Amino acid sequence: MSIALLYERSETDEMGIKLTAQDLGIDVVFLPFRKIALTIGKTGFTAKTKGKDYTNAVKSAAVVLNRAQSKNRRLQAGYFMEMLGKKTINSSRIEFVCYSKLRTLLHFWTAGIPIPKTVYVPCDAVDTLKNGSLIHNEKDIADLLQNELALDEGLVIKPDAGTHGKGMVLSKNREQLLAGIQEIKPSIINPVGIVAQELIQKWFYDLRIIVSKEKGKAPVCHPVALARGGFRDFRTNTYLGNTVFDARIPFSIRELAVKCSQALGKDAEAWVLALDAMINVGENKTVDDAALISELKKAEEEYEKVRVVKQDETRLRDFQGWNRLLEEAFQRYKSTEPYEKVKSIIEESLEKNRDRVVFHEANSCPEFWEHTRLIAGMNVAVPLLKCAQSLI
Amino acid sequence: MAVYKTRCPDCDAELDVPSDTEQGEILSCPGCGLELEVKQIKGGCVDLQELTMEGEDWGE
Repeated sequence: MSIALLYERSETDEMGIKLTAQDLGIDVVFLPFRKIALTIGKTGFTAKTKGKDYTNAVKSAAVVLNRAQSKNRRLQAGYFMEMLGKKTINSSRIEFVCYSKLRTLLHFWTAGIPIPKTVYVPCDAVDTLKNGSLIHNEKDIADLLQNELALDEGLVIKPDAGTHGKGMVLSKNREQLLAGIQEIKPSIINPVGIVAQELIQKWFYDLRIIVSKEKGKAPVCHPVALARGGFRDFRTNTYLGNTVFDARIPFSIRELAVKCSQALGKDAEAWVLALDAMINVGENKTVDDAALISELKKAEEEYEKVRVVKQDETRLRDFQGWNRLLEEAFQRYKSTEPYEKVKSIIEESLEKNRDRVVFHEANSCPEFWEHTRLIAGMNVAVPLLKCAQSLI
Repeated sequence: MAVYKTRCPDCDAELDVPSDTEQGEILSCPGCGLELEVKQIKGGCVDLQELTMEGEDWGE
């Protein structure tokens, strides 16, 4: 029985998992979950592309690493594989919870983990009547949100299944709020209703924390977080041009991260999760913004050299060669003075404000090969493969 | 029509590429279904490159 890597496209992370499996001497079979016919009927189960029969590969797999990149396809893949008797990482139950920010927050909240104050209004901004006319609910939704959240301190509307900060809207007055609600339309990343949160005064950074659990062992939190920083926007996603740093996590936050993973993992035997957390720093800053902005700007300039390598298309033709260049570029970036200075500021702020952490999201299929691995020092492919092995 | 033989850069399946294929055309790998762009055809050798895509609910 083997480990199967199920994926849609061979992106950097999936190539990284293949490379890591080779390095660790772990056999992995590959299941392209894309233009494939998965058939169930009287004669049993088959999995075939136009030119290749994957049925035996699926049958021989004991554990499936579910890396379908689309959240919705990943849900289908996990459920399908489990119904065929496979163990999955992560389980379809974990996928179901992590798919939705609201569901994730409910699990955190019931486990006593600090979260941003969150309001869910099930109603969509616009309803269509049978006769085709429209009912506008924007004002009612805005009233409901304003009753619960302080608008002047900032109110964030976010798609329930959003990604990379897309579709997030910050409002600080009624006009902005109404405009923001109007923008939210039912879609694949926000199927029903409106999710809104208080704006966390996170200064300039947030954290991505990795927790993994092998069967028969306790969950382990990687002691270093990926800190994403910048003043570009209220969002700190790297896709929006923010910069990355590593930051040692205070023990109390690591304990909370483990608790988060247990709240999501429940009775699953193994899991690998990336948790997103913010620190409500407020005015409890450790240095002046002016000095920080100057250092961040210098760090961003250094990071531009990494970006050039990241975008180099040789990745698609010579992954190993490109990977070497990438590792060297990140190493150079991490050894620069501005990097060290900003990293120190983040770590000092983290230590000073460790009781002000809130967890707001969990990622069941995190991207990791570039930032998490080369900045935070955690190659997530290793716990993925080890957790899979522990299930066999 | 003559065909050139090449391989999918991802799953290594063999692909038959018609000789009148032009640079920039998109082919689909019969083995894994990946969409591949023809980057270059020279002396019977076909250079294929995976297309990068991003779906609406992709990425974490």
